[in-house]
Amino acid sequence: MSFVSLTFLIVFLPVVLFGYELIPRTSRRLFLICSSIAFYAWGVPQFIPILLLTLTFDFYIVRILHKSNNATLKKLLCLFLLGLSISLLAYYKYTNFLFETFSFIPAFGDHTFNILLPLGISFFTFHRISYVIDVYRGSHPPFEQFSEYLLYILLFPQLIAGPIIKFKEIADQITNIALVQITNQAKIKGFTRFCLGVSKKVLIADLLSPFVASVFLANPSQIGTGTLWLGVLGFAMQIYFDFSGYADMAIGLATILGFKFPENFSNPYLSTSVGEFWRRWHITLGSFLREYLYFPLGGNRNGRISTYRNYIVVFFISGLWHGASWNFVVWGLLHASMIILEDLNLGKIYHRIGPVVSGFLTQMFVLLSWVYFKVENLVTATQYIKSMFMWRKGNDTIPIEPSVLSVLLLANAICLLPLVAKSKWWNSCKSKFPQFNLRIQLISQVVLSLFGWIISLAFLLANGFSPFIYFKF
Amino acid sequence: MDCLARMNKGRLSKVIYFVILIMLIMPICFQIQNFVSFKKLEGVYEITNLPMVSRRSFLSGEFQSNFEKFMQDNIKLRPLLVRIHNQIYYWIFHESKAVVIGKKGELFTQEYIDAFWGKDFVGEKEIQEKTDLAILANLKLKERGKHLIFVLAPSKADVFPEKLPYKKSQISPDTKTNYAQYSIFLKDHGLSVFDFNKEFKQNKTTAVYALYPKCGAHWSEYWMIDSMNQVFAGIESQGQIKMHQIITSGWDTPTKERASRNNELELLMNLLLPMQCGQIYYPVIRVSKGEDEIKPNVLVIADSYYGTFFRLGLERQMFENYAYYYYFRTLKDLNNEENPQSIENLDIDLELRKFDFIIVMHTTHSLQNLGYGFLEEVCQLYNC
Repeated sequence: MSFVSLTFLIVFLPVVLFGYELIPRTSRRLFLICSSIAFYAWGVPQFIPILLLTLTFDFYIVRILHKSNNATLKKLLCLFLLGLSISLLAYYKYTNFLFETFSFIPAFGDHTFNILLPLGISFFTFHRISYVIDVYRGSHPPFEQFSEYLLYILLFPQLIAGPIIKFKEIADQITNIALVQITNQAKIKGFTRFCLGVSKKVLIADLLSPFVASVFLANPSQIGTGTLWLGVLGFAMQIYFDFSGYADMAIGLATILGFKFPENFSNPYLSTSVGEFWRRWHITLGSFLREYLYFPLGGNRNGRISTYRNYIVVFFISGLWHGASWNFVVWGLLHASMIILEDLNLGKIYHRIGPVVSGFLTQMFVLLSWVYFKVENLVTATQYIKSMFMWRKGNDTIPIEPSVLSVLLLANAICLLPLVAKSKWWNSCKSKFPQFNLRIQLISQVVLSLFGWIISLAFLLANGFSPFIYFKF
Repeated sequence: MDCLARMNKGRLSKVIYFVILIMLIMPICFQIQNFVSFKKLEGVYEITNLPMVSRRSFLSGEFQSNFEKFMQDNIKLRPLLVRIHNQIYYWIFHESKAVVIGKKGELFTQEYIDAFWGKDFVGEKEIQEKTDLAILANLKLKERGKHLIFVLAPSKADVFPEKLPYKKSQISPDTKTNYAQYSIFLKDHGLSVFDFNKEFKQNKTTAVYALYPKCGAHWSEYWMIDSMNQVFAGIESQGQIKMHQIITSGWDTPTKERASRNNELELLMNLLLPMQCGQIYYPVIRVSKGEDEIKPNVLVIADSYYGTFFRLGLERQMFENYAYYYYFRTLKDLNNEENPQSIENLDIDLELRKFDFIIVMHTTHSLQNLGYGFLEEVCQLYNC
């Protein structure tokens, strides 16, 4: 079930929020588990038994791991559980990719398997890994009750699209959910955040989607240069507003339910280096990989060569995690290369040329690397980038509607807003306006949020509506 | 903040959150009530029925996606919310998903623009084959004392390309279109053709009354009647008969239903607030009946353009036996437009015996299939 489906917005969400208000606090955990299972079952019901079985297994083995005093046994159990989680992910997500990659080996041959991918497997696998490792390291004791562990993995706001929440960050929140007094201010704050996310997804990302899709489906050597650039820019905005919109929805929902999720985006398109970009884009993924992969590999403690090797491994895994295809790996490795270059000399050059120019160069790199993220075929992706730098007049097969340009402009303006907000000019303007009291601010926020929610609902409903003037044969 | 202020703020938040919950539950409440409803959306569209749930359909995800579609089509708030969307889209982008908005608010439909640009060109081979079929069908019908008449109705995009919204509203001279080819081929092969597309293009700068309503897809009533009178003159000439005349005069005040036919594209936009569509001339229409005049038997096979004449209800005054086969698929009936009868239920051979004149009317868009399948049917019946 998608957060921006009618089933979720009109049926699931109101029922869950109303139910959550009415039930006693002690029943919150059970209620959320049941809601989350219903949420997941609406999408892929056939995986519920496998999921519950593996989670049960995880939970009890981790308990044994925690109670054991034998360091070797602990390590073995940890590795075993990690291997199990990763194997499950590998089987569902990467089987066909592996067979395709090694098809030149006779044993692999030319097979394709009809393997249905469980929704959110990339995310809940990371949550399982975090649980095992945090308990193994002693960062946090394991959950006392299986229902707590179930809730950690299945909690529906973060189940299918993150953010990736480390076990130690949320363990106490889950354990104490029955005790938490969720204030109405928090619920309102959560709702306004949720509406912001819905608006970002429906009113920006989804409006750019058809144009972006038509540009990337076409042959890049036959499209005008301007259209190619607009296509990439459109995709950069689409992916940001789509993903950050989902993050806002997840964080908003969690806040209403009494949880505090970490932020996942922080104005990534204002970064002045690729390293900074990864501290602002999909923050929880970066944090997860840093803690559970980069640091165990040695981090930057063992000299430059080792550090750079670790960057490459981390970004290789990151690329592959995003999708079972080589273009994602190339995308990841491109970012790794830039981070290495920044560490070598580029960072000093950036420092000298200033944040504006370095920011521009960084965003150009990010934009061009998005082509590899979007286009599965590496040759086509390279052709696309080449065509972007060869002037060619368009042949009007892909019309650039004013609506697309307007939304693209708006999206870019929103991305640049934080710069404006920091400026002296804005601060001087602000001081001239009357300061509305908190009550009015609260009401205005809610009214705007409800407005955004209604407009988003209107856009969702109008999406599939395309009437004819008369019946046509 | 003092205690009272804190209490007040807490109460305000409680009220606000309660309002939020009410807003979230409102769509469900609307669905189960029957007191308030919104005007149905205009246009022809499919409504998905509640899908049947089975183990297979639920496990495969088919039920869930069909249920989502069912919700989208059946939610009672849909007409209001779709209109809100369309109004916002129109205000901000000056665009509509249903129609094409040209310069100065002139409305068009995309298929006529595609036909103007030759995007639906069927190819010279097919045009030649269809023309040959038309010639054979004409011969066979003539043998049985019937007259086949082709009418090429005018397309708004063809007549007023300068009003189209695109930068390139001029097509290059070597653009091939179905209209350009058929209008020459059919005449050159001796078939009876009335080309109103050409006539409207010639008269557009001198016409006293608007050729098209600004917000309509079809020719205006006045010019439609003028054109039909020319066709009837052709029938008189071919059949050596004298028919009644349709006379237009003065200014008539149209009924709501008559006026809505000229704003059909504006209605199709499904806006919250009506667009300014300007005035259109509604003549007073009457049929003059002379003593020696007769009512011929006329079958019309056409797309929606003939509907402008059909809905005036003049057929029973002008013709003895008459029928309107819409796209040669359904039999149009003024008293039962919602559920037309399928042509498949008719014995075409028997039906054809009732008529002396067969008018095949096309616009540029429907020329993709000359005759709508009627020519093939005739050739099959009469062994061309």
